[in-house]
Amino acid sequence: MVALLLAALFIVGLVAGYLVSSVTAPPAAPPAAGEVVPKSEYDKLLRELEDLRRQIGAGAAPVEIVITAWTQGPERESIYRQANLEEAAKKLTQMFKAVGVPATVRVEGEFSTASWTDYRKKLYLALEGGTGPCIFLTAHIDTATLADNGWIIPLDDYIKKYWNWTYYDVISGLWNSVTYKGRIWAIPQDTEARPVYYNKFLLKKLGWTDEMINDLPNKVLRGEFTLYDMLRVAKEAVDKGVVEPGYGIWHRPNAGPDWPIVYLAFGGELYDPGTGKLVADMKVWRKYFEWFYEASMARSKVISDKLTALDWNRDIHPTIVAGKVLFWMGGTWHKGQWVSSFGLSEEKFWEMFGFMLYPPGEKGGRPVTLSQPMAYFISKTCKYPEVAFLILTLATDSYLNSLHAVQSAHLAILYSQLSDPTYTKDKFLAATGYMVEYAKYQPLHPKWGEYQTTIFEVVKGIETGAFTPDTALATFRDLLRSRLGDAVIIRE
Amino acid sequence: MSREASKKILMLAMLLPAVAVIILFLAVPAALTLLISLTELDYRFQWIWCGLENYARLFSSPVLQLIVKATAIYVAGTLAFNTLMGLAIALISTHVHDALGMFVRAVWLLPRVLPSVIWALLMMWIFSPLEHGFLNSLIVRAGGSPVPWTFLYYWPFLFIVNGFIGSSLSGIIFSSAIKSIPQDYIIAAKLDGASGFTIVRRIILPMIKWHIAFFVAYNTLSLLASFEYIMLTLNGGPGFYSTEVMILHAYHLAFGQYMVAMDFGYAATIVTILLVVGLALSVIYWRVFRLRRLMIEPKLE
Repeated sequence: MVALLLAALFIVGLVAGYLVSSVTAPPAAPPAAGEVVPKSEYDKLLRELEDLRRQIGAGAAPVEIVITAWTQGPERESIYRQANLEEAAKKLTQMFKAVGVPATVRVEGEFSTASWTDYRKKLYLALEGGTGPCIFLTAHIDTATLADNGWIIPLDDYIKKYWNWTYYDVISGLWNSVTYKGRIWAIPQDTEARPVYYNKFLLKKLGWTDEMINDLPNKVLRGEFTLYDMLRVAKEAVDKGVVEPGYGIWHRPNAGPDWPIVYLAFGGELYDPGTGKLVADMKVWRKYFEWFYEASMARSKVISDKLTALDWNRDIHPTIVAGKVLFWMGGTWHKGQWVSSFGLSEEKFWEMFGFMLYPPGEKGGRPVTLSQPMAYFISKTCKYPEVAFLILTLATDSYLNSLHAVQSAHLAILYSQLSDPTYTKDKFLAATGYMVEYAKYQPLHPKWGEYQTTIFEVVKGIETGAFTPDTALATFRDLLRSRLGDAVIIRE
Repeated sequence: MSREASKKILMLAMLLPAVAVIILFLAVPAALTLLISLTELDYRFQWIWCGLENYARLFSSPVLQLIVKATAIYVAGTLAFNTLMGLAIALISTHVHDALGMFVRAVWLLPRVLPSVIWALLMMWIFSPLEHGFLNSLIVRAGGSPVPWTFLYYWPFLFIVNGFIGSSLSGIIFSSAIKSIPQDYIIAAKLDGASGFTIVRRIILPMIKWHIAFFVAYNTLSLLASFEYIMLTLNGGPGFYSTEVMILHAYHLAFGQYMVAMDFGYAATIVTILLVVGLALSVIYWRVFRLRRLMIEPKLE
């Protein structure tokens, strides 16, 4: 049945493709007046279509194909992750209707605003129990776990099959983020960059000129402004009373993908492709912990010891929007949240905030950021994998993705989005676009979550005065050994 | 069938429902926990036996010492708070006018009837380390500088958050015990010129010692398995494992990490150890407090 529907769709594609090509191709011979497609060809296609209709029994009771889909925010602004799938199902239904296929496609499911922990828990248990959704969205880093458990299907063949529809247009680096053990397992849905925001008002109070402020991102790009320069500026702000002690540099209060960025900025590596194991370079981790120790309340009083006890929505965002923090290690989507949920106007944002890549650890180094693309997966239990894939294909659309990107302040995944008017009229997305080039991804490894949680726990210990760099390093090594065993290569 | 035998069968039949409930809801989960701790059970929910590997992992874990220490502090501190505060409530509310005493005990029940999430939120707001916290905004208005309450005094904070709920129970138990003391003793003591303090020390406390013993034993066991208020407030913070008690650690391993480890097998190891500790403590309390004497029939009534 499905195969027939798809065959019908294929015919429609042929007709459409033929029409388009004959319109756009330079006219080889003067066509007959008012005729674009040669009549004979058109009749032939029409006959084939009629044939198909008879085969699938046109006029029979319409079939409803329900594709279940789960997507996740948690921020409400990302609701297009679900809405675009529903829109794609509508498109597919319209195509069926146009060719007289008696079938409708509906996407059923929900957009979740629960925490990632809760969402993953629900998803994993459902997948293991075989009751999972057909399509689901999760972060690209889950690819390893999902693929190792055989919960998802590889998509290489489909991607090849529909390459010309839309996949040629996907920004090529993104495929790496969903490639595991040599196969592509998901379709990228969005990406982001994690910049360091700086407060322009506070820098002015420190005596910076507009020129200096606006040149800061470029200085970072040139490798002239390092993490220690950032620390120095923040310390100066604290010493001069421009910000309160502990409000110089803020970072996320909990475990999350941001924690390895400073390690990457010091030139660290997280994954060994040869052995497929995680890597901990202790020389680099020492630099990392020294930097956080230097920033802590015990030394420069730049990062508050209470930071890790704070709540995102109750404490963190309001404080930053109120302009009390000099540097904020955030994400591009925070701008979207501030404007839509934290009362910051678009104009005020541009007046108050600038943004830059994470400065390199050492002079002349390369700045970095981290991207964590979201991706759509198709589960093994999906009854209509190709219909599900067609929905993904139709949802991977410059306009639809741009709607999502603009509302949620995520970055483009398609080259064509970079010139899509919906996308380009957003000044912020245009201004942060270059960051994707500097973006690194987290390693795809089932134990990465524990590695990353351990980084956070140790930083929390440093900031609250439990560790010096030496004890932090020793604890970190012990924890990694105990939690990851031989999944990690510890380089001394 | 002899009379004796049929009596025994009847007794067994009468016991059966209770035994069934105990086995189904108490023994089976405990046994399951023990079994899970011998597996690699994780997010895939597959029983892969691994012997004592989880235990070896736990005993070599760098954070073991920290979570054991946190558990000891938490249980001892909250227990002391609950018992002493309960005694204070009971003594005060039984020494004032009856209606007022009733009112005091009713007010102390308020935290218990509040949904725990709301209670935790309220307490976090009152003791917030930031300036906009309730206490800090009062201090700032009075010209002081804000105190980082939950940050510096996290243990007292947790004792209060838990204790305001726990002490309402002990308060009620103790005050009903005090009320059941025959008034003659107290009147006689007063006639002999005993001070209020002496009456409490020499008459009331000895007369309610069984109730105190029961509460201490019962509360210790429930505190060993209690983590919800820590999770809702400090969640193991503010520092490196500073308030991560064993049962909270087990919860985090099983359900609560950022990229779900769902390490059920390893988490069950900690729960099993708590189970053993709880059983051992029950036996110790039984012996030390001679709780058996509570159960035997009085020689004369």
